[in-house]
Amino acid sequence: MFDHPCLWLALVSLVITSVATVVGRNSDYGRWAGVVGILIHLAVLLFEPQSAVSGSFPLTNVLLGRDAVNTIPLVVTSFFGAGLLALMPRQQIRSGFAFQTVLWVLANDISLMGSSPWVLCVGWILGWLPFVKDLDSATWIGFALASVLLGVGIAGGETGMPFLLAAVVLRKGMFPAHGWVVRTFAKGALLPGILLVNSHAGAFALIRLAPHAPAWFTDIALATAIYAAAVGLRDRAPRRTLAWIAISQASFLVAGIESGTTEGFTGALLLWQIVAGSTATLVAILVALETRVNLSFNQFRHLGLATSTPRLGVAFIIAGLALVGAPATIGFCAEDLLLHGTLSAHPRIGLLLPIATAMNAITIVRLFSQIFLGPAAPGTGDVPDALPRERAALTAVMLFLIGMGLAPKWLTQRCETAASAVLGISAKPQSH
Amino acid sequence: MSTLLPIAVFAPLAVFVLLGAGWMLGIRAGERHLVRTTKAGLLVSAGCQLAMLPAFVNGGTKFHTADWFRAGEYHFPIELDLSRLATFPALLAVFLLGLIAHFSARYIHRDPGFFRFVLLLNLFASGILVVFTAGSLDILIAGWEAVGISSVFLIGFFQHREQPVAGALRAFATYRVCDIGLLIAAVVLHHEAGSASFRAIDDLHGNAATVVAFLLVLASLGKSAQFPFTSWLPRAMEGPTPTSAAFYGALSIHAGAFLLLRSRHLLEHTPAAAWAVVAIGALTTLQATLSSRVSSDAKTALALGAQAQVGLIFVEIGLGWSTLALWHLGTHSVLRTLEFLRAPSVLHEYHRIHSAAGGEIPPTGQHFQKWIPAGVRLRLYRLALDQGQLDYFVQRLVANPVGRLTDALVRIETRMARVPGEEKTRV
Repeated sequence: MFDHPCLWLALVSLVITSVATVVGRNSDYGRWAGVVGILIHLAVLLFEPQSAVSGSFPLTNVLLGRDAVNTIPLVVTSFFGAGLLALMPRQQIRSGFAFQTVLWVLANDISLMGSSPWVLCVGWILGWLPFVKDLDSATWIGFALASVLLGVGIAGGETGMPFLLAAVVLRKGMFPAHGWVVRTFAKGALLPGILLVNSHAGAFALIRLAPHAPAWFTDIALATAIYAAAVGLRDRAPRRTLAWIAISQASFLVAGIESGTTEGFTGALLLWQIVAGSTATLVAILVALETRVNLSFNQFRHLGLATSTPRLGVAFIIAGLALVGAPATIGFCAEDLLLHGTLSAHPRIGLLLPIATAMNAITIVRLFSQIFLGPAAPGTGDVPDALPRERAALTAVMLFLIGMGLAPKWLTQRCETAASAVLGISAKPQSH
Repeated sequence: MSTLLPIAVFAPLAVFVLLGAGWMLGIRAGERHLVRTTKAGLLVSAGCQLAMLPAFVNGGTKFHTADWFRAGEYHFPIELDLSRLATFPALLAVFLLGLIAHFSARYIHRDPGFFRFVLLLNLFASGILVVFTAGSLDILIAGWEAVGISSVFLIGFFQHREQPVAGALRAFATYRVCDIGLLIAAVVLHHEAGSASFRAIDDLHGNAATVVAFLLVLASLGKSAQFPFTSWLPRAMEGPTPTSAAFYGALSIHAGAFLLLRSRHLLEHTPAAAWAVVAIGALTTLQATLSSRVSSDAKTALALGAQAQVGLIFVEIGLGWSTLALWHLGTHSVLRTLEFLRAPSVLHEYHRIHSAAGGEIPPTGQHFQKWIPAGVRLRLYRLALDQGQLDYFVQRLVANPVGRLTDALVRIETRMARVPGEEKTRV
């Protein structure tokens, strides 16, 4: 244990942070304790030397290790958690969301840094346990089933592949097991849903355990993307619309991971970050507006909030367009790499990705026009725009989405390194 | 010389980023500063383009970076090409946009959306320059999308009203449907030729050439509002007059035609696509001419007139008359911009002249109408009023069936999700 002081220090700091969020939950102290604690944990973690990779997992003499494959996801989940905490309305902090978020970051660390499949499995389970009280029974039973299937898949070795893929379908929310995403977004607290979707636990399990799944598995992902895009086009409820867009765009991760090419895998890793950053921004803005506006968003054709909340509107549309690959955003680079990298393995993606992305783009603009444009709905005249903490967090996200979009080389190189590490691993025989 | 080209193309984008970042951080510039900054960006672009004019005789100026980004075997360089074809439109774009910016300083003075207008105008400027100077389809797509996004948000400029918002959404949906052609064309090119550069497009032959040609034609139809994607253009007139001038008089509406001009060698290899372009252009010209004659709104009449002229440009391109098409494009841009910017004043003058004449002055242009039988005239009038009934056919044959299917899916999903109906969803 003392050979890896940074690793254990990072995890201990998260545990301390979680306690601090509970102690300070009736004030903003809890929020900022969470934000600072998560960022400190990340900084300490990045000092941990990178392990080499053996088989599919980090080569280390302890249970956890940082390698070229998990570094980017670790950074993404930490910034994601910290950013979401900074943006959350105070009611959410009071109801214990900060504590849940820190636990979620901790669980993701375990899942991402696990040096064996079983540690990954433990991280999977810990990732959804803090949210059981917020989920309906069908969802947490589904998660439990996914965890069991993952365990069976790991124990079964090569014969366990179908169980493993079934676990990924359930956990990732792929068709036909996508219902939990829509339900979690549509009712109750929206925030556990966005955390569960953006852990991308299923995608990471594929990277570690099944980087060469059968082609039909990618077809399921593509079918999910098209189906979700089509339904999202017509669904008028903002929360459900966001769910459909998240399901659709996240499905392309599978295609990139299973492409077997450096380009496709790099595109998938880039898309991971964009889906996380963009969907977090969209959800956070929607939650902020729902808190400010005492109206049911589903009842109005237009809410007309652009006049009173222009900065929230701008952040919403930029995050939305980045999610669907608008130029000058990093989304453009991700979709381009994904498209060209997966073309040889899955020619159908050349037709389906542009169609799904076009549908999602129309849905995003329709959602933006529903919330921000048109005549102002009654009672929306004095809605405050982005608060200073929201403005800081949203500016950081937009700087990332646009800045990296204009100068993507730095980020794509790091993703390419991770991609090469995974593809270099997969050439060797796998033993669990 | 070649380093001037990216400066010329991206100077307005730099202004866009500067103004946008400043606004997010709470820095508000006055109208005068906004217009001056915009003009400065356009002036820089114009100056760089003029400095590159001597290279025109040698075929233009090229700019090529190593890689904007890369991964594995795939790399994405930034290729810009101020070719002989692009020089005139690029310079004209900067000139017309500078004029429109100057006009807008007074026309949109004190409008709450002034800043938004300036910002989107700069985004559009860079986008259209990228479209004109792109050396590859990949780069062209970036500019193409920027033009589309800025166009849509300017159609919905008067965002507190439902109609402009609905018009903007319709325009965006049309753009995205047609842009699928552009994206798939880029994919096919990479697959067949290993590159999406315009050199690769020119060298394409066989079935791949036919497929790519038709896909590019599809892409061009949306931006240029050609048959059957004509109905969004009249709705786009909800935007402010300077927007209508810049986008649907001068530049954006010609982007599709320019794409076909750029791919003219491909059209020469694919007669089927070329004749399709001719047929589409002719149909659009006929339909737009008829509709403009029955239009009661000045800007809509101008927009339909522009649509008809672009239809003629399409015919010229399809027939291989590229030089004529380029000159037609340029002169039409100038004339239509003037007409749009003058439209509000013309209406005042029209009423003044009628008052001075002591009543109604008989309308002109009925000479040819007399040759058409009354019954046919009535049917044509009805057809023109409905703009060829394209909306009806698209709605009935495409939108309604797809809508019914997806509505059924939404109902199934809603029932499965057991979500409460319309009650307030409180966090």
